Amino acid sequence: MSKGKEILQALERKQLEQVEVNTRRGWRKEVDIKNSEIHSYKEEEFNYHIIRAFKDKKKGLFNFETWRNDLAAYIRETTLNAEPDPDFHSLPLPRKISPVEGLYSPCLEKIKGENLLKIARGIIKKAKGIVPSVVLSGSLEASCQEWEVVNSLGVEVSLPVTFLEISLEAIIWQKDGAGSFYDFEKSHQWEESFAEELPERVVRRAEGYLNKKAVKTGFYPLILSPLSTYILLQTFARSLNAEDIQKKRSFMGSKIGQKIAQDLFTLKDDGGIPGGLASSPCDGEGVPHRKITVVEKGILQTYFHNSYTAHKDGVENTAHASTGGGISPTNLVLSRGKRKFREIASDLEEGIFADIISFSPHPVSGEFSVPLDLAYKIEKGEFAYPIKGAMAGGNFQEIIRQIKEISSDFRPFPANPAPYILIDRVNILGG
Amino acid sequence: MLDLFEELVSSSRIKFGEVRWEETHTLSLVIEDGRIESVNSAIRSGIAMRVLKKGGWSFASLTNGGREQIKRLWKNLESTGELLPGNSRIFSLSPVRETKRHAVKEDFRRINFKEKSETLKNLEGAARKRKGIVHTRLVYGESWLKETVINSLGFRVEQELPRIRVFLNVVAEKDGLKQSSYKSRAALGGWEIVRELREESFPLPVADRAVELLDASPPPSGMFKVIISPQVAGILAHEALGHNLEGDHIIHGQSLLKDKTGERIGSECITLVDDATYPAAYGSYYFDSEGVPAQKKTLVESGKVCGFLHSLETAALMEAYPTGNGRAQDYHHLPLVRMSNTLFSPGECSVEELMDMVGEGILVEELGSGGYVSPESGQFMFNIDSSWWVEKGKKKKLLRNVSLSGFTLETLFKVKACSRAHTLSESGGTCGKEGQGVPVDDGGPFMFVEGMLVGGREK
Repeated sequence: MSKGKEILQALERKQLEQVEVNTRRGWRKEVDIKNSEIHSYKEEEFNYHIIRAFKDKKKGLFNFETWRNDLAAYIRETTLNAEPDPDFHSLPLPRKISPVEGLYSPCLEKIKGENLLKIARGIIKKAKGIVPSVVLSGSLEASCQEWEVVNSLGVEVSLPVTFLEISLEAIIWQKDGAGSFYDFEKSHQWEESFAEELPERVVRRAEGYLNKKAVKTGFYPLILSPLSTYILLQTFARSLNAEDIQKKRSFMGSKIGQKIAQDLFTLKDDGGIPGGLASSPCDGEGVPHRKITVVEKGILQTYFHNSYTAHKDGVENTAHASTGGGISPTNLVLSRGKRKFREIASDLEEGIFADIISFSPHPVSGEFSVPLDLAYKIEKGEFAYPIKGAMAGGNFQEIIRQIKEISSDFRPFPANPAPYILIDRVNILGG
Repeated sequence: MLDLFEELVSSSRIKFGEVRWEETHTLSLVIEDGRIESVNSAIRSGIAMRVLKKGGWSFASLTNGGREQIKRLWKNLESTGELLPGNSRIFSLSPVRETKRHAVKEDFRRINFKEKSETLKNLEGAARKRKGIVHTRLVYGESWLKETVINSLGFRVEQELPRIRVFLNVVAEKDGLKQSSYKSRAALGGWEIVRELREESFPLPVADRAVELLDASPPPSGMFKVIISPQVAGILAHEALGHNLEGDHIIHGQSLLKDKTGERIGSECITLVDDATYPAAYGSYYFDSEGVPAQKKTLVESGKVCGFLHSLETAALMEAYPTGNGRAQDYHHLPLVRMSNTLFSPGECSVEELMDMVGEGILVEELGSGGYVSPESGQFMFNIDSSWWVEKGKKKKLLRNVSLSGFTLETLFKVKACSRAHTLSESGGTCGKEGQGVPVDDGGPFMFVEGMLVGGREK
C-alpha cells in the first residue's frame, strides 16, 4: 500500500468526513558554485506529507515530514477546532486521468553526484574561458520525486517526476562598478545544451551591463525580453487567482467578459503539454488538467479555480488547485505576432529594452514602481547603452492594456514559449 | 542518538564534521473577515550533516533514519569529500557545551485553541469597527524550535526558541478605490506577546491608516529631501547595507563593500549594528546553526566599515573572529552568513529638528509590500504605503503608494542627521537568501536624507 493510502486509512478511522493526502517523496542533489569555484555538494532526502482534513465543513491543513500514527488523533482534534465554512462543498470525485509524457527521465533519476560535479566544473571553465575575472555563482540541481494525491472519495494519482535546473549569476567588476546578469534553465529532461549555453549567456550579458548611463525621465516604449515576458505572464496569472478575486484581494476583480488588452493578446493555460515546466496529468486535488483560454483577443474569459472557488462561484473547475488547497496557473502560452524582435526594435526612434523586469504590482491597487536595473536604452532602433538607476512606474492593468506588439520569435521555456513584447508607453523615472 | 553524532564527528578522516538535529512544531491560524479561514499545523524533525575534507563541503539531510542509515550516509559524505577540493576552512573556535531554553511566561503550546482563536478574532474584529473597511485578514504563527549542534571542534549546544508573529492586513474601499495597510508584531517568547496587544495600539491604527489613505494624494516624482521612519530605516539597514556586510558576499565577490574595510561608506551619522542578543527580538537566538554563541556586532561606525558578519568558514577565510551569524533555515540546508536584528544607531536630534531641516520634502512612514536590492550595484527600491508631504517643517498632506529608490552608498553619504528616538520595528520578517528563509528584525532612528528618488504617478 502506498504511503498516501496508509495515511488516508489511518485518518478515516478517526471518522473525519473527507481527507486528502498529498505526498512528495524523493531526493535532490545539488552542486553549489560560489566565486567561480565549487563550494559544496548536497544530497537531500525529502518526504513531505500535506494533509487536508474535513469534518462538519471544518477544515485543517497539516504538513509533516515524518508520519506517525498518533498524528491521526492530533489531526482530528485540530480540525474540529476550526470553524465551519458554509462554502465548502466537497473534495473532487475521481475522474479519468490521461498520462502526460516527458515529466520523468530515467537518465536524471540515475544521475550521480560525480556527474553533477563534472558538469559544474565544465560550467565554471566555460565562463572563465570567456572572462577570466568573472565571479560566477549559482547552482546545478537534479531531483527526482514520486508525487501522490489520494482522497477519501477515491482519487488516486501517482507519478514520478524529475527536474534539472541550473541557475547562474555572473558579476564582472570594474574600477567604477560592476556588470551582472542572472538567468536559469529548467527541464524535466537531461539537457546537454544548458551547461554549454547558459554560462556563455550570463557572462556575455554581464559584460553588456558595464558602463551604465542615466536615462532622462519620460514616457518611453518598453520592449520586454522573453525572460521578462515569462515573469510578466506569471504575475498576470497570479492576479487572476479566483480565491483572491472572491476575497477582493486582487485588482482584476469583476473583469470577466471585459476588454483588458488589445486584440493581439490571447493567453491560454495548458497543464497537459508534454514536458511542460508546470505540466502534470492533474492538479493538486486530482482533477485532470485541460487546456483553457484565459484571454481571447483581449477579453478576459476566466479566473483560475480550484474545486472550492469554482463551487463558490458556480462555475466549472479549471483544475488549478495547488498542493494543499491553493491555486496556481500551469503552462502559459501567449499568442505570437508576425514580426521578429529585431524588426520591432528597429522601428523605435527611442525606447527601453528590459532584460529583466519584475513588475510586482500592489495586489489590491495594481500600482507598481520597480527598478530598471538590467535594461538598455534603444536609440534609432539599436541598443545604445545600459541604463543606470532608473525606475518604471504605473499600473499593471495599463501595462497589459498597452501591449502593442508581440514578436514571432520566442524563448522556448518548456511549454511556456516566451516572446518579446512591446508596451506602447511606460513612465520611466531617470536616475 | 547524540552519542552516535559525537562518534561520527570525531572521525580522523576529515578536517571538520558537524551534525545538527532539529525538531519544530508550528501552528498558524488565518482569520478573515471574522471567520477562521484555515488552521495549519506542521511537525518536522530531521538531521543535517556536513563534512569538510579536502576544502569543499559535502552535506546531507534526512528526515527518517536509524543508526545504521545515518552511519552509511556519513560514510558517503566522507567519500564525496574526496571529490571536493577547494579553499574552504573552519575557524578553530574553543568548544562550547551549553544548553539554553528561552523562558516564556505562557507556553503557547498549553493555551487551548478556543482561547487562542477568541483572542485573535477579537483583535481582527476590532479593525472592522472602522467605517470603510471591506476586508480584514489576520495571520497568526507560532513555532517552537529545538536544535542541537555537535561538531568536531568539541561543540555540543542545545537551544529552544519559541517565536510568535501576528500579522494584520486591512483593505478599505471608497468609490471603487481600494487602499490597504498592515501591521505585525513578532518576538521571541510565549503567548504573553499576544495577550499584551491592545485594540488601540494594534488593529485600530491599521484600520484608521487604510481609511485615511483613501483620501491621500498620489506622490510627486523626482528627487526630494526625505525623513525616513525607524521602520524604513530598518529595511535600509537590512536590505541595502546589511547584506553587503555578510562575509560570504565579501569573499565571493558579490558585495559592493568587498574592498571597503576601514573605508568611509557613509556620513558620520551612520553606525550600524547587528544584534542577535537583542532581548526577545524575533531575530534573536542563543547560538547560531553552527553552535557559535550569539553576539552584538558593530559593523559600521561613524560612517566607516569596521567589521563583517561571519560564519566559522568566512571568519577563517577572512582571518576574523566568528560572529555567530552562520544560520540555516532548517536541517535541509547548509548554514549561510545571515543577519539577526540589524539596526542603525540613534543620533542627537529630536524628530522636530529633523522636520525643520527638511523644510519641504517627504516624511516616509509605513512600509508597503515588495522591494528590491541589487547587492553588487547597490541599487534599491522600497514600496511605501503611507508618507507625508512636508512644508515648512510640518506635515501637510498624506501621500499614498510612494516608492523610494537610490544607490546604497550615495544615500548613506546623504544622511545628514538622525533622531535620538529609535526603535526595533518588532514586526519581524523572514529574510531570504539562496533559497533559505530565517527570522530577522530591524530598526533604527528617524533619519534625514538630503535627497532620495521618489517614484509616483503625479506629474
